[in-house]
Amino acid sequence: MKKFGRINLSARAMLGLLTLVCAASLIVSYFSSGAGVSIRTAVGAVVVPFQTGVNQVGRALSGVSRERRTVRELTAENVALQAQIDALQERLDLVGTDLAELDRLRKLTGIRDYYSGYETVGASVISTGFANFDYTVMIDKGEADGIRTGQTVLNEDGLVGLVVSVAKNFAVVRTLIDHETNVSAMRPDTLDTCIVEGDENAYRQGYLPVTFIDNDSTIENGIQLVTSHISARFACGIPIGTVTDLRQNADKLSYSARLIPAVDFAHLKNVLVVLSADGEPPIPIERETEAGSEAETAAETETPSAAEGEAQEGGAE
Amino acid sequence: MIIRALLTALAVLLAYLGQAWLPGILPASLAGICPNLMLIVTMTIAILRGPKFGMLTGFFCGLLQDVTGGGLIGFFALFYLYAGYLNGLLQEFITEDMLLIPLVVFTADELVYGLYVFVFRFLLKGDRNLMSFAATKLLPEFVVSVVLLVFIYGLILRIDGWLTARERKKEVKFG
Repeated sequence: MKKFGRINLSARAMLGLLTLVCAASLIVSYFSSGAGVSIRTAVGAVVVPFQTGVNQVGRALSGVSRERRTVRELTAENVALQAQIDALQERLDLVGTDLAELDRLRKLTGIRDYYSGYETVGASVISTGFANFDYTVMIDKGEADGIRTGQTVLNEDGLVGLVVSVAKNFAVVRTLIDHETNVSAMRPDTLDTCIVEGDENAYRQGYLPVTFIDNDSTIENGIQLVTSHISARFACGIPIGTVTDLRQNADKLSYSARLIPAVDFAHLKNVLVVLSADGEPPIPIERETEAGSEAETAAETETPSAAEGEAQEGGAE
Repeated sequence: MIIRALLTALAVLLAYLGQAWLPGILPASLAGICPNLMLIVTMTIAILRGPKFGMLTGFFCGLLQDVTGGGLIGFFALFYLYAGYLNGLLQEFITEDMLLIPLVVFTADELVYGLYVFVFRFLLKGDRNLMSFAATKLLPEFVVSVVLLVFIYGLILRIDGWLTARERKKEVKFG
């Protein structure tokens, strides 16, 4: 125990040293995202394999309970499904001809799919909801796969969020419901814009607040909002959710509403990261009026700057 | 000493994985609420082993949380570093059979932690509703954490006792 005094003294020195380390890394990661990548990669190298493993164990465990079903149940289900397949096959044939027609018409009118032109990479979510105030998820692709800070993340239902930090082999995505997220949204056919705010308390009750809807806006209940063409951070034309509960604000100058998100954030599994949104400039559906064509040119000129904006560190808009 | 360091590293890693995994398997009514296992482990090790061990444990806990979250690197590391150091200073006054002490210390830690997060993550962004933050985030987290604290503290206390006994045996051998 004669060491005790020395340990106490060096404890204070150690505290000072580690405080400096913290301060330095705070400053470095604030000013340069490149240094952040290497620190994250170094620490993440230890954790990510475990995380992926634990995740698989978790999925396997929840799978086991689902597998406990009787043969009779399965047979009955099989018969029902077979019938469903037949019905769907029939519809598919019909849709196939419709699609061919749609393609032809699209070529004629020059309208393209909203984000078919985006270059994307698929990734799996390996961890969700770490702390109670950070609604971020970790995905298993990182800088090595071309992912950069500020890229838009979506899944088959719609907008998931924004990449906020990357390492070599993983990245962190801030989801739409996080309180730091604000998305510029629009009605796809009239280009009327509004702001969708992230709010985890509201999301627990199943909606997100929508604000800045003009009095003369055509946004109404039941409309599906997509990310807007004036957004500097999010790729354009990705579904966000459906508007409900539209009401005029007390000041009578604007409306606010609630949005039911398209994505189920409690069960995120696979996501797509938009690597580049400037391959094919997404052109919103045209309108006959002048406003439409104006907005369209605005959308086209805006796209390169949107790509630049994405390269910057993501924050609230 | 090496075994102690390895076991501490294992505790930090398990706390991290638990924190990432638990919200998914908790009942639906608690969905999205994760216990603050990092703070539990930091505090427990700090009050059992003193400031030096406590602050190292805290530093690495915080670093893990920083790296896998989206914020600045060093934000949580700084907090847990001081939590570990300050809790570690209490080591001299605490004997192992005082079971109420960890609960009191943890409550204080959690309050300071909540305030730290609120000021830097919410207040500076213009969200001034402290009551809503406390009710929807801090309180649920605290309740779930306290339940787990009892078990984790007990487990680490046992392992610590086992390690201490082992080290004493060795000292006797050398002496």
